[in-house]
Amino acid sequence: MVLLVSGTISQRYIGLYQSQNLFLGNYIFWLGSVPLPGAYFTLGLIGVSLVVKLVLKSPWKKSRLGVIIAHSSILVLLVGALVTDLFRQEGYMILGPGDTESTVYDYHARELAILKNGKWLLSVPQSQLRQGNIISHPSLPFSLRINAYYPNSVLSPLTTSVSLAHGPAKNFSLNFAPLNSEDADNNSGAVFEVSGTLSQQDGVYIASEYLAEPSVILEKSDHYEIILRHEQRELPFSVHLIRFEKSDYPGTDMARSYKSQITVKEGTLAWDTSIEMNQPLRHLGYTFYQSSFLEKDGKQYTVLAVVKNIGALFPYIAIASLCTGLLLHLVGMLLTKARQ
Amino acid sequence: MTRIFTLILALLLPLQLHAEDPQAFSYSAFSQIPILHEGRIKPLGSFARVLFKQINGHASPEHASAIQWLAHALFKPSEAMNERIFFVQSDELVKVLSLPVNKNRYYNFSEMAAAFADHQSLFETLASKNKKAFTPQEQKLSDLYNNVNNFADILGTFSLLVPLTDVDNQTLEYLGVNDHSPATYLYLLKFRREIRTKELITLTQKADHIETYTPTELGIARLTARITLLEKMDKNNSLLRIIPPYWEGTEEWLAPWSVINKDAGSPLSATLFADWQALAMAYQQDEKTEWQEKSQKLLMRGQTRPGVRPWALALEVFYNDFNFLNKVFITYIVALGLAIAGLLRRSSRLQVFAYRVMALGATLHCIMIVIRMAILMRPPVSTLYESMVFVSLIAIVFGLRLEWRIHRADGLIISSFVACLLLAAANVFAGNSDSLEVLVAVLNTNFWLATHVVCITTGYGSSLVAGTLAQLYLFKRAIGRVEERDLIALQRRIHLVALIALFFTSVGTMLGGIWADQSWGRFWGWDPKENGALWIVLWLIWLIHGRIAGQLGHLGFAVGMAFINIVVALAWVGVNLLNVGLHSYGFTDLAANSLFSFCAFELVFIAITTIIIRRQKTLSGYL
Repeated sequence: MVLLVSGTISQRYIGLYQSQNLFLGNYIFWLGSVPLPGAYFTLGLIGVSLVVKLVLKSPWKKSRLGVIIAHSSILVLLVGALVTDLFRQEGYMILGPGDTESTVYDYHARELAILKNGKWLLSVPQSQLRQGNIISHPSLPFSLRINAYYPNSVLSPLTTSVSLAHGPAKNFSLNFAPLNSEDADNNSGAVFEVSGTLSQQDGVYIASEYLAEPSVILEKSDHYEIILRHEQRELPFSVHLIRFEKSDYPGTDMARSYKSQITVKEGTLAWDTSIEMNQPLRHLGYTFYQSSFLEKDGKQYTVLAVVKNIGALFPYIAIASLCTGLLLHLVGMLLTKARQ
Repeated sequence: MTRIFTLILALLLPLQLHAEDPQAFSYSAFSQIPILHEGRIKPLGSFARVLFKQINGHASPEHASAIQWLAHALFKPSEAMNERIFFVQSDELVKVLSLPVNKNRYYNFSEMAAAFADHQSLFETLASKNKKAFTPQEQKLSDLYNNVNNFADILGTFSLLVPLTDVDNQTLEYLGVNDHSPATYLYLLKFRREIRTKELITLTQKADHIETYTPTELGIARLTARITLLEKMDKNNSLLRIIPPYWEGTEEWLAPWSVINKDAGSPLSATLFADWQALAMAYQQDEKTEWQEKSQKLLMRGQTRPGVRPWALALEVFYNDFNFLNKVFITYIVALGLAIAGLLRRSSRLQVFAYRVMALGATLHCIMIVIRMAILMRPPVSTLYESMVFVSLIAIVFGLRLEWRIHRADGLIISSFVACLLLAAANVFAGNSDSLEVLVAVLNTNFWLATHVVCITTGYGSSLVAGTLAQLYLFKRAIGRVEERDLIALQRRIHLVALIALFFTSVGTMLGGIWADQSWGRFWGWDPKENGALWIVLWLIWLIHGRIAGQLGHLGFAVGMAFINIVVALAWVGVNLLNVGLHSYGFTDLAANSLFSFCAFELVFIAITTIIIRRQKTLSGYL
């Protein structure tokens, strides 16, 4: 309860994503330097005690059936939460009219991607962007050493140029910035050193989400771009937006409904379908939701949330059994009362 | 006997305090004329109420109804301008706008318009600011600005249909107008080119040497100035959307000026303009039969348009006029009074009477909710206001069910008390907006509104009943002189209601998760409202398990249950104070203060009763 209350009130000040990380989405909650049980730990404890109770302490009688079912449903819910937390992937996709896309962008996780002649070569996940980490790859003629990684950063223009700096690092320095309450507003950035190039391009580089211009290395007529971006995942099929429809309540700019008319293309197959608010599209374990829309240069873009979650079914089972269990228990109680 | 009294009360309820004067204008047809407002087609009567409440704070003017006020403002704008209807919310605002000091802080349009003209820069700064970052003072100023603008729109709605006053016949003849039609802006639009050409000729020949102008040339110059002024004032007038769409492919109703502005004229709009003009004339000339006839005609034309449901218009006007909320509230107050009197005088007859009055109130309450559902074509709960109205009904239903056979005072007092409190709160939280409003896209789904929302609000209602029963338990023990048998029976009831509450809140919360999973792809997102629902569920689970496991005694369980009212209040409306998340509705200072006072009162009550009980020697073995 304490975690829940703190996690809720703090949302006003630090935003949902951060307060979730701080209070609700971890195993240990640090109050200063004192470790306290976090929300996950507490939930785990509840799960374990439920199992112990069901196995060792519950009288397995017909009259207790409702109670047992209700308690098991909570266990199902907790298992579902664990599965979801471990295996769930969520991201988004932005499509303009006529666009076809098969890449999903993660909402939060970033990656350092290296492209060779415009084609993807290598991705370094955020977790490996630690200071001192060295990144090398057989098909990469040079190696990278991470000097710093900031989940949110600012670029400040440099007045004097730094020796051995290349690309945007010649004109800007990348500095730490406090996290914003909305994770989407954070511009992560990394400073890294490149070594082993043949064409004397060793030195310091920066990559930042804020920069439109990537750091570029030309090596043996190959063109390497190093960019920091939201983590990307490829879908086994692609989605083509035919059109996006937003309908307002007449005479207002208040939305009544959003709808994306799309074509799903999988190999040689293609079929038309639509995604609406409260009516997602499910295909091959992926679920597409109408999440939002953007307006840019007079064009409307649809924003689809893409989720892959094998734990999605657990809550449905849990609610059905909880409902049955509690009803059985209540009816049983009322019957006993009536008999008395 | 009590049956007869209840019947008399039932017959008294439909009576209106102000009987309609047969000599006055009849507004029954006029108030049903359809208008598109805030995304919904509603009767003019509803529009008038919403607008007047926004401007004035009250539901209607002192000696008239909102629809009468609207008609007056539409058809006699020069008089309406001088009525003091604008309520300025604080003394500080009066100072900021340099308005003349007046005790009630009510001002007329002319005073407001002058103040706004003098403080133009203030509004320019306001317009450049992000609305979310407004201070309460800025919010009030912005609301006031919108109110004045809206009223200006009302005053100018029909300015295109009013004959222009300073145009002489000679000028009209000079323009070739000779069919003796009233020289309105709308009519003169046909002659726009002639007017412009003649004005240009004069200007080329005589520039601005007005002394050399002939009377007709002067007339043209005056006419041009008049038209330009009118356009400047009213061209963007778009509030009163009473002209239905005619051409295919649009759902948008337009205000008279917008029809001209958007070139959306049609045979229908031409007919409607003529009808409205005739109606205005009838009003100004006090022609009651003509007024009645024309408003009836306009209503019929509106009723036949696509998307208009004539029965819904009539029903909504009835709903507004009947004032259900007040009547239901009064009935419950009467029931509460009777139940308390029955308890004090130990009169079972009074308690039976209280039960019947409460049942009468519940019937009215159900009718009210069903009418709202019919008008909006959606399940009973989708806004904070509706949730309060619905939860109060749940409390009453619990009371009626608990006292089904014996009609004891306990359940009657508890449920009518909770219901009265909630209905009063609904009035506070409804704010100035229309309580029959349309919903944003994600909420616009009848299936989930009917399942999750109904389930969770039933959970809120049953939790409140359990909590208040627990408070009654504490109260009874605190004042002593109560039999142990009664207390044990009360404990059992609290436990039963708590179980029911747990059922509805937990199932409702999980259904909410499934809705979220269907809409956004996540079952749980730690949204404040989700967390709030979880608080209630955890609190109930903790208490029920504590009682079963024997860790909580009777007193401990009752104290814990008494706290559930605060938990529910915070989870239900308190989270809106945070202004984050998908469930947050607008929140006012008054609402926040009421919430805090409620919590403080509950805390003090629980603390005092618990202290008294702990000091008692008797029954101590029973702790």
